[in-house]
Amino acid sequence: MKLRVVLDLSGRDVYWQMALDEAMLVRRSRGEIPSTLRLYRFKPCAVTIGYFQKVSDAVNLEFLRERGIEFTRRITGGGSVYHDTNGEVTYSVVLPVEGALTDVLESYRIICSGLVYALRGLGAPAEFAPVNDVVVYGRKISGSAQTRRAGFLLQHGTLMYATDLDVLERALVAPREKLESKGVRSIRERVTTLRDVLGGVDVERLVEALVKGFAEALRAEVYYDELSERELRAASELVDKYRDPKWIYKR
Amino acid sequence: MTSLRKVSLVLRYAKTAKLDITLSDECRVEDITISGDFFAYPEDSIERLESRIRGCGSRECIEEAFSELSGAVVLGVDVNDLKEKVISILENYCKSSKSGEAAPRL
Repeated sequence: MKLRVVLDLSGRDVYWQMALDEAMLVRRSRGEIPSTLRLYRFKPCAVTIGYFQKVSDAVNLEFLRERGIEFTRRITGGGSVYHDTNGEVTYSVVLPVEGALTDVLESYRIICSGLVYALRGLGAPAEFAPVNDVVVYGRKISGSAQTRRAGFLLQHGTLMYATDLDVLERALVAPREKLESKGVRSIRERVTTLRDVLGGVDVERLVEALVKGFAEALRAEVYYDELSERELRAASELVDKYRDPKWIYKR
Repeated sequence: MTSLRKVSLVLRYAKTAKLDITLSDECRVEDITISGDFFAYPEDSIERLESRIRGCGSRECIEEAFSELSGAVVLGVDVNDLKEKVISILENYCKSSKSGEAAPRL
């Protein structure tokens, strides 16, 4: 298959990024764009919560308000995520649900193996940890989430290369039951970054490794492209949804 | 006058699910929210399930409501266990409200 790659790393806010991911899924499902991998950043730093989460159970609202950290709800399930402008690269990919991607669990494994290949290529012994995580030395370095519409899927996820884990720990709430089941006392003990593993990381090399990793995982031939005016327009029509307290506090 | 009882229960599976249930003195589920960091495909199957559970006052009604998930894929949650937890919340609290006893701890 051919995979369009969009490097969109200058950074935009959380509402825009979530709107653009949704717009790309909608446009892919209508056959208006090809299968696409987008790499992007959140600017300013932000938090997203999973589709089924309650705001009060997922984030430390007081801390977010104090720091002026924006947050919104994703259209994908999973848990809350802290997106550090200078410490995390996010990927999103829109693909048809066909062949090995038909089975949901298998599709997570296949797409997450793009991250595994990228990290291994950089020297970090990464492994896929079902359902949706990638770990290095048992600690989470990447989490992904997927939704499906009309025979197409959107999967997006993080790769923490230098995330400020102190801020992450204060911004997010993890249920005591979850931490206990993982045998840790805090979120901090459960996560890691590429900087912690390798001592340092060049973002350009990381981006290159990600593109190569996803190409290998999806057995795709990649080509680079820019976002079109139509994609940008479609995203701008969805931005208000992600700013709307009715959407954010849906649960 | 109807008085309401609110029950919250956090359940740990591969992912976490939280049940927030409001029960009426007439032993019916007034409201339910199933939240957490799990995945469901399609996502709105959970909202349909919640909507079908509202108004339920019996095991049979809740079991029937859960048939809403029969065509869905839910990852990270043991759906059968979740169903049993909803039923036991309803049955335990209704038993205690009828007998006038304090509600049992779950």
